[in-house]
Amino acid sequence: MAESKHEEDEKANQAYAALGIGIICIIIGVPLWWKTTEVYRVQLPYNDISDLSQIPLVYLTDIEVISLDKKLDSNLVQISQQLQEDLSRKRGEEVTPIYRVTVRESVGDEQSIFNKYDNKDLSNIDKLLSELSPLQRNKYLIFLIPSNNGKLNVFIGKYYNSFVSSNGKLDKIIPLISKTVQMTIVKEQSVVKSIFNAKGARSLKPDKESMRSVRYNTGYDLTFTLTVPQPDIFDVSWNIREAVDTYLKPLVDHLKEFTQLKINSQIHYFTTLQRKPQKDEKLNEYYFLEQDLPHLINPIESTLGTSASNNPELNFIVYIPTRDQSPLYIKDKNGVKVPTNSFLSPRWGGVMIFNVPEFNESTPLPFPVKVEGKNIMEVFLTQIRLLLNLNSPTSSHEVWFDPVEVNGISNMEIDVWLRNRCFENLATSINTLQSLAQLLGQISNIVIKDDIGSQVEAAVREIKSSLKYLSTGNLVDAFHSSKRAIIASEKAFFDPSLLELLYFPEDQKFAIYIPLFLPISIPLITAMMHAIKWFKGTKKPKTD
Amino acid sequence: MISTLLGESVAILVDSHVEELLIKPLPSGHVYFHFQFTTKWDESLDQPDSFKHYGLFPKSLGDVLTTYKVQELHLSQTQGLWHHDKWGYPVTSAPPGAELWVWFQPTITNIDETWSELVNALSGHFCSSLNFLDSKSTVAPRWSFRPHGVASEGYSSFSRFIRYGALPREIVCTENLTPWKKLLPCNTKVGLGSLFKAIKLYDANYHSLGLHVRPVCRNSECKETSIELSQSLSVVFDPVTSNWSLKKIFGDFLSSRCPLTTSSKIFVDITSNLPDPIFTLSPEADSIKTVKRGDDTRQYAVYDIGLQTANGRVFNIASRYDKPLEYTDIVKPPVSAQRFITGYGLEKGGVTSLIYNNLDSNLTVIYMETLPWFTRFFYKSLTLSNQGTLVQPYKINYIPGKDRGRPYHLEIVFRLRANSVTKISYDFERAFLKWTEYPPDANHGFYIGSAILSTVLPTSVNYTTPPQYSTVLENSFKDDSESYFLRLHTETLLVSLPTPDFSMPYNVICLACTVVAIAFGSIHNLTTRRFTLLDPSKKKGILAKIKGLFKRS
Repeated sequence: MAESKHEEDEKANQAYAALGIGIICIIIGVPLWWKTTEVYRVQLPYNDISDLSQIPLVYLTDIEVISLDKKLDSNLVQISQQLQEDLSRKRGEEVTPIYRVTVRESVGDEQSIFNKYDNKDLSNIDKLLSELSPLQRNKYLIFLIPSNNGKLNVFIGKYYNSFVSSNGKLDKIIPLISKTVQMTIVKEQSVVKSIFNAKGARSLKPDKESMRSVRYNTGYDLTFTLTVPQPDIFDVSWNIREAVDTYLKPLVDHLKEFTQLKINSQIHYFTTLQRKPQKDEKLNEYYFLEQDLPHLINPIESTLGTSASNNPELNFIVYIPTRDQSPLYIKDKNGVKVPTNSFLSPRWGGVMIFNVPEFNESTPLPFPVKVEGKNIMEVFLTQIRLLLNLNSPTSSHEVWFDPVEVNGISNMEIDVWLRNRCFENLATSINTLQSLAQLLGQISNIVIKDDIGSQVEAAVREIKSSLKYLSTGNLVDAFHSSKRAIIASEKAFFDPSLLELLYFPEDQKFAIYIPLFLPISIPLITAMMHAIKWFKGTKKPKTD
Repeated sequence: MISTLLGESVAILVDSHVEELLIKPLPSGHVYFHFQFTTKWDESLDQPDSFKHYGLFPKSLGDVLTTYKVQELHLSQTQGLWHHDKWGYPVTSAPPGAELWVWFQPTITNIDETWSELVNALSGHFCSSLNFLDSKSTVAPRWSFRPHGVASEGYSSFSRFIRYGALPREIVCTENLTPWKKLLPCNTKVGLGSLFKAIKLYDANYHSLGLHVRPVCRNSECKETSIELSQSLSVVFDPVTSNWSLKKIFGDFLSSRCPLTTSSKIFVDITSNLPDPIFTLSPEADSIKTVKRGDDTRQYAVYDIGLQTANGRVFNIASRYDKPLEYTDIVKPPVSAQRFITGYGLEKGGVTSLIYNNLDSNLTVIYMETLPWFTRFFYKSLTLSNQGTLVQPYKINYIPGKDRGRPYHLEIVFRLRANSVTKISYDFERAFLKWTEYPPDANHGFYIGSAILSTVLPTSVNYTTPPQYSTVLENSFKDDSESYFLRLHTETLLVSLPTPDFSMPYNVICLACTVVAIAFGSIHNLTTRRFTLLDPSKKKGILAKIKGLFKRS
């Protein structure tokens, strides 16, 4: 009996020891293993990120209507109400424009400017009016001036002034104003489109226009290349420095606050278009058809060289055709020569073919050729505007514009550009953050370092503040916030540290763990099972 | 009318390009070809705004120079070793592998960061592994690498603005030639560049690509500086039978001259034809030029590529030996060096350099050595001796290395006695690397870069380097200076470090785990098992035995 008691005690000891070791292993070992093999992941504001797309997109624009038409003075309140009503009609788009309309009579200064020019020569009036008060972005003045001939039309100045000639009929004037504001001044549709494009950038097929222009960046490198395949025949020179200063500097200066355009030029020799042009035997001319153009760029591009910066590069090439292939033209689909003799390659740049004037066989070689800055810059400026998405407006029969010089850019165009880029940046940034959050949620192996966490937080903060600025009409600050947001979010998304552990396969982990875990866990588990069985066994007789 | 036009074009000529080829039959039977392309542009690097509109100067390179505030840049990429004893001195000396040294502009703020950005940019630009020139292999030499171009006294007396790095392991091939020749204004379409066929070039005994950018005087007054880009390609061929021709060596004729050059010439060194002609050149040279430079007189056959290829003629220089070449004693160059590894085993080692002075006068030299951090240099073991007597160096600049931080850097200034051999030797210890620090094929060994010897020679025997004021070879023909700066690169060294078996980490993990498991298992058994006596006489069936294994009594 004593022996069996002793045996029982020993068995109990054995069971307690097995359970004790097992529990210690589980309590200390498992958390220790868990902690030491854990992937470092900073907590990201996942909720904020998913809420970002719920924040309504709203932008505020100030419209001030100033009446010079005495006949309308009694109707000012009515104009204000109706215009506000017209402009705040629901549009069913994901972005809502809000207009703050004020209507007032003209003040003395304005009156005297108009009187001075007798309501004509609106360009000069526009200029003088702009000097009255400091320019304020995102605020547009609309002057109602009595019409001379009873016709309704709109003249849009270079500054922030528009002029509507009124014929006194409110039911015609108000729709015209609201249409002008929506379609021409603010360009609501382009805002919707840029959001759509930015969102679709990673999933949908973008349309032609959005494929053409480059996406927003803090800087672009513009390189002008003069390509001379036969320097032994043509001694080509260009005064590119002067051409850039005259034609491009105004644009660069205007955009300086928002994006840096860095301009370079180079001359390349002995680079030829490898595709042979077709010959027009009758006229003794050579030409490329539209379908040939994609093949022209590649051989040239490989020689262009790289830039030391990370900015997107836009290339503009002036090509001097070889003597045996000149004159060389570009023909469109219908077989008509393109008047500018140039073409644009989306998101890449433009190419212009510059034909050398004919010269006598007996002229000593090399024949001096001077490429005039005006000829090439007029073409390239249009291409730069298209590539940067600075689309210039076109006049219609009701609305016409004070034409800006070839090198200029109007404030209103910059406003439209800022608004569109701001929304594009916001949409892209939100999209990027959400993709990142989704990716990090899906793959638990990714390390998230502190600086990625802070980038993501900064991006979220900037997006919010940008949206707030937009809803209060502060366009410039909104743009700068959106710029910082997109930089931060892209930086977080493309951070190489995210990839560090991504390719560490699960099965290799087991190959390392098994030699340790298997020999330890088998005796541990069997001993624990026996112990549990023993406990059950000892309990049973007691209850019996 | 024409004269005014010409006058105008001369006035606006701000950049010029010269291409040259120097051919030198070497006494060992090899033939040395040195292509020299020099572009000079009247713009100053101090004003980055002016570096925007490029003509003959390559934009992609100019962009790099202005972005990283470079004052001077010297890059060489070499395959093979230049044998000074047999071949004399090359036009530009280069170590095997890649070597880069850069002087930065004084306006630079963070030089180490800029250097690392620069090497990354250049690495992409020239398709080489220059991006591995990190702080572990970069030094700032004090005396060996002075600015080569125009520089103020105050600027050049500090080593603050210079960085030097070498990659002795770098292999140079076609992918390095392609970006290099893209920088030539005529590319490889016409002119001397059309001879660059990679398949022939890389079949040579020695091959070296050089790229040197420096500021030079714009005119004789030197109030303004211009920038000079010098690109050179040196190849040494063994023509097997001593007769050689352009066609035979490069696989092509010359058929045109680059129209953008102001001068494009070929010089063939025919000094060995004096006094008795041993080879004949065809076609006949446009002119024969006798050049007296210092105490050395050389004769060159000069060909003008423009004249030779006029009217669509093809041009092929051929040299024919009338009788088999007789090998005679080669005149040793004034100074040469030899370096090798000493010691045995994998723990310690040593390096010995023998520096020969074959002149009748004493010579002061600067010896520079850069050792990677894993060969730990012992400063105390450094000895300089000349025929048994110790040499007292004038100056020593020693920067000790740091593990995984910076290399060991040593510069010694000392005197070479006339007609003697000076021996420099020191010991080092081989460090253990972490297993991730080994390169692929670790058993191949680790390279130690060339040592560099700099001196000023009083004689121009064997000396072909153009004078300091211009890298155009033709200018070296009218050089009347009396001292000649020489830089010489020694052999690179290969050391083997203790190299582990690379499956080791996994083995260690497995072994350690097994040991832990065994220890755990026995302790676990001791604590949780009961030991009872069994009666061995009691026989059990097989089934019971197996059951017994699983079931505890």
